[in-house]
Parts: sequence; structure tokens; C-alpha cells
Amino acid sequence: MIRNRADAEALDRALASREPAPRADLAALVRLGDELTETWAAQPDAAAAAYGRRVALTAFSTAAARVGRPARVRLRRRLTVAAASILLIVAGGTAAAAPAVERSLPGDAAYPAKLTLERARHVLAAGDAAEASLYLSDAEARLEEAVRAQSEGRAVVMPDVLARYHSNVRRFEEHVSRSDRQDAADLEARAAREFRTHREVLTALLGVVPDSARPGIERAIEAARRGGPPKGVGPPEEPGRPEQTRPGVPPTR
Amino acid sequence: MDSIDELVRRAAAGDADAFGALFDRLHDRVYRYFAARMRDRAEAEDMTATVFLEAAHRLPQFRGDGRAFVAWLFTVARHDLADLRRRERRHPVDPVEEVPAEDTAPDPAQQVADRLDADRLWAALNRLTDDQREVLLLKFAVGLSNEETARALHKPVTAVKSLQHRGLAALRRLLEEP
Repeated sequence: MIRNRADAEALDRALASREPAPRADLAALVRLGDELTETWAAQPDAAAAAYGRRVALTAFSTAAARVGRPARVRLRRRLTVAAASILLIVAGGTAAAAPAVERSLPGDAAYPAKLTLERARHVLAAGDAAEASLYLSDAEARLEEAVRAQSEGRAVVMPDVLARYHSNVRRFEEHVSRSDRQDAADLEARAAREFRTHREVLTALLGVVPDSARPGIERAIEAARRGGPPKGVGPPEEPGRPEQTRPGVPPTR
Repeated sequence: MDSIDELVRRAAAGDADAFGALFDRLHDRVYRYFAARMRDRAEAEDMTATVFLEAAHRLPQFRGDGRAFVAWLFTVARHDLADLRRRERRHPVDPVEEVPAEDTAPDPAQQVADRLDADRLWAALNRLTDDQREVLLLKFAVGLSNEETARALHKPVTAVKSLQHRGLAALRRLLEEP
């Protein structure tokens, strides 16, 4: 029976010192504590831990590189990336310097880490409005990838990138429809501005990509008109979960 | 071996090796926290990875010592778990139990007995108060000290000791119920 603070102190001393508890009831609680420690001594899968370590280190390097850059510069960079992209497409220049993860494209070693980072943000999102906002940002990231793919002569990855763009736009629409009225209105206003820019960038891309990439670009332009994929075209499959891309680790679900 | 204080200081200054060392020191403890509260081991691994991604983003601007960082890490873990539970309540998911590989599967009779004990512990743990459960997890699954637990839960050390006592006593009573 719990009496007072003295019992709590006596139990804690017994747990810490491993000396016999002063009473049988406290000794029973010490034994229970030992059993809990033994029961909960689980070990993570070594391959999963190693993969998590690589992803976390990549994220740390990216974050460390960003420290000291003013927030307004980061915001301005996102807002003007589309305008710069058009210039990039037209001038045929090389992609501006950016951390390796941000620069990565499908097929690059760092690309799964990039998707894992995006997914982690979604895990931490609090509500549909937050998720919708993140999917809008993800769609912009896909657009940047499409531009970079073209500028680096890697149009072969364009279908993968554009399929993910479709998925991001579709998920954005789903979460907006589940948001409350005010949040939805704010998101719609932001989306109207951003999708207009997306259409401009995609239209510029249409002029320079190989013929094989044109249909995907045209579908993306339709998606950016805020109706999701055009009627008659089935939505693309959801890009794979990070655990399906872990090297050497079979999926558990 | 560098202390956690030193590793946190170096990682906050952008030292990737220090961050890696922090990961190595703390990863298994964070995993045990989630594994004690989740039946799905893969999900516990995913949640652990998410916590360290948060740490990766936060550390370059972190201002605090090793204890503050450990407390912050487990505060994030608790909040992430609470967020997951809220999402599960909104969108219920029927979890698929993992089937052990044949070469590691224990004796079926023992497996049933083990599962019963785990089920009883799981059910009993869910009947404790949130504070009692968190103290037991942080002390016995994670191995935090009273001071570290107190910081993670934003409570005084005396409260942690009291919750430890009450939690163990309540758990023992629940486990002894028929």
C-alpha cells in the first residue's frame, strides 16, 4: 500500500542501489521494475538502424548548411525558383548549386533520403490543412526536379518525376477538401498563384523536352489547372514508401 | 569517449561526426521507447527514424547541454507518438502482425505463453495514467535517470519518484488480476 513520499524515496533508492528493499512490498516492485527492463530490452533491426543513420546524417548536413541563411532569403528562393527555372530552361544553363539531397533526382543515391525527409514532414503534420500545404510544396519540389532533369540532360527521369507531381497535386486536392473552410480558402488562394507559375514553367519545358517527355508534361499542365489528372487518365500509383527502397531490407508490410 | 554534453556542443556547431555519435548513443533507447508502446516493430523503427530527422533539423541551432538535448529528444518522441495515436483514431488501421521467420520461430506453446504475458502487460500499461506510463517507459524501457525523466516530462524529480512508485504498484495490481 502506498503511504507517503518516504515509500517513493525508499523504492527509488532500492532500484538505484540494488540493495535489498526495506519491505517485502517494495521488494516486489523492484522485481517488477527489473522484469520491465528485461521485457522492454528490444533491439532494432541493424539494417533499418543503419539506413536511418544515413538518412539522418544527410538531413543534418543539409540543415547545418542552411544555418545562418536568413529565413526571408529561403522564402524568396522558393517563390522565385519558378521564374529562375524558366530562364534556366531557355538559356540551357546548369542548375544552381544546392545541397546534394535537394539536387538529387530519381536514380541518385540521395533521392530516397529526399523522399524520406518529405515523408517525415507529413508524419509530423497536424491536420489536413498542414498536409495540403506540404503536398503543395512537394509538387513544387517535383517541378524543380523536372527543370533540373532537363537542364542536366536527364530527361529519362521525367516520367517518374511527373508521376510524383500528379500524385502530390492529387493528395493536395484531397486534403484541401477535408480542411475547414478558412484553411481551404487560404490554401486555394495560394494554390491558384503557385499552379499558375507551375503551368508557365511546364509550358516552357514543353518547348525543349524530347518528344517522349511531351505527353507527361501536357498531363502535368492539365493537373496544374487544379482539376487533378485529366478525365480518362487514371491517377498514377502512389510513389513507394521509404522502407521499400531501403537497400537489403525486405518490406515488412 | 566524448560525453553527450560535448557531442551536443559539437553537433550544434555543425559537426556531422558528433551527430553520428549522438545517433549511435541514443538510437536504441529511442527505439525501445516506441517498441514498448507499439506492436509493429517496423512502425517503431519508422517513428525512431522520424525523431532523429527532427533532431537533425534542430541540432544545428540547438542551445542547451546534453541533458537538455536528451530531454528534448524524448519530448519529441512522446509528441510524435501522441500525434500518431490521434491520426489512428481519425483513420483506424488494422495492423498486420509480423510472422517470425521459420528458423527463428520459438516453440509454439511458449510463443502463446509469451504473447499472453505481452498482451497482459500491454493491457495493464494502457490502464495506467498517462504520467505513470510515461515515467515507467522512460525509466525502464529507455533507462533515463530521474533527472532526465523529470526534464523530459517537465516535472520535478520528486513527482517522478512518486509516479514511479504509484505506477509500479498499479501495474503490479493490474497484472495480478485474473
